[in-house]
Amino acid sequence: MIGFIISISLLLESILSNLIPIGTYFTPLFSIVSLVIIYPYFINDDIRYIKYCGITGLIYDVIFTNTLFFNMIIFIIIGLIIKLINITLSNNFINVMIITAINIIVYLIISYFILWIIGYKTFNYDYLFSTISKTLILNIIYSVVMYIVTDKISKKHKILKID
Amino acid sequence: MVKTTKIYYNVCGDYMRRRNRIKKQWIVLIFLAVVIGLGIIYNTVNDKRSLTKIEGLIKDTGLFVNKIVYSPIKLVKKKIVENREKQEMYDKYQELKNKSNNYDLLEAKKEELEFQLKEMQKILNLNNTLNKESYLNATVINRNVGIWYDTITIDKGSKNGIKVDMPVIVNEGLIGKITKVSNFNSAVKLLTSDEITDKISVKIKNNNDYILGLLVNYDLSNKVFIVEGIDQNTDIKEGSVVTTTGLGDYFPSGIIVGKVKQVRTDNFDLAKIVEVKSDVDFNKINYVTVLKREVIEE
Repeated sequence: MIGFIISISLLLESILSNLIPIGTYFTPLFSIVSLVIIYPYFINDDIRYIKYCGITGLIYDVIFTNTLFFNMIIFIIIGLIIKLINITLSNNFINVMIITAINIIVYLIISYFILWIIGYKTFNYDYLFSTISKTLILNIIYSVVMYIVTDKISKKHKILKID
Repeated sequence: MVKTTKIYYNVCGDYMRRRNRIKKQWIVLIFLAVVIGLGIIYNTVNDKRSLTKIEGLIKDTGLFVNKIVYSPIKLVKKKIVENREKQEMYDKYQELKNKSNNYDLLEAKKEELEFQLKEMQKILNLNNTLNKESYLNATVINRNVGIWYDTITIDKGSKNGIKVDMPVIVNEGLIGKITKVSNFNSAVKLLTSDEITDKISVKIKNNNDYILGLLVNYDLSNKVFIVEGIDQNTDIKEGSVVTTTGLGDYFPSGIIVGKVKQVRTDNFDLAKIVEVKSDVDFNKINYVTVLKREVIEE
């Protein structure tokens, strides 16, 4: 189930990036959403969850962005944030939407700041803000769809998850 | 009683001091970890870094799977676009039919110009110019994955003869250069990228003359390229065509970059800054051409 969610998200992100023009309000970041969706399937196994986050980040690094360890580190941080938020919030589709939104904002801010610190990007507040706003809509929709689909599958096949 | 209190305070003081020392050590350790982490990221994000064999293999495999999954969707998309283009082509055909009478005249003129160019090259002994390119068409297989990188991935790699730093164009003009190559895929850094490490030498057509300048960066808010290094007393008309000069290591001469949108002076009134608008829609790049530059040898 976990592998299925991650691979589908990575593939869909890549495919949609070709179909949807850049700069529209539908920029996919499904790999981050997949980290939110898979968390409930790691019952009392946070270390394994963080490992999965790191591996997903590394795959994302190598296949899509030609970098190494950059997304891996950020995905691990995102994993820790998801873990912390899930302590207080229960697992339902509204909370999934909120967690997705928070994590996408955090991901974009952290990655932009790191790239700015190492001199790769020049800081432009408007650009950062517009990118965040353009990334939220599609990913929140995807998180809800993914939550409903995986919830039905897990109920059908009696896969245990945190509620 | 006093003695006991003294001992108690001493023990407490020692404990607090030890705790502060450990705290400081942790701060130093975290700081070092952050610095080392940033150093590693700087090295791996850097475009000058070439892909390792394992990275190349994983990348090729991942993108191959991606290509297979994407192919049926691509086919449907292609059919839709084809139908739309068919209609447009029919309209253009009607228009061109009317213009076809002038074709013979233009053909003769072109032959004459080609002959003149060859003769002039012979005279000027320009046998090693960077004008001969072999073109390689490629399809874009990834675009905005990794939003901040301004990079696209194409389906041609070192097996197709692609090398790092080769220029990449589309019909409307220059779009970037190759930065990373694996066996079957390559990454193209777009000109709109923030990372300004290589300034591009460009020329602006001004009547029958050319003005040289340097393309230094891309203005994200106005979506224009900024060309600097132009004398204050030079007159540049809006709409003038901007092309590459061939000076420098990467881009050959004569590739269109865009047209002059606006000319202004810098903050010190010493030089002119030219804003160049490209016809390329950097948000919608599906097919590109890589210029596999070759040096003409006699």
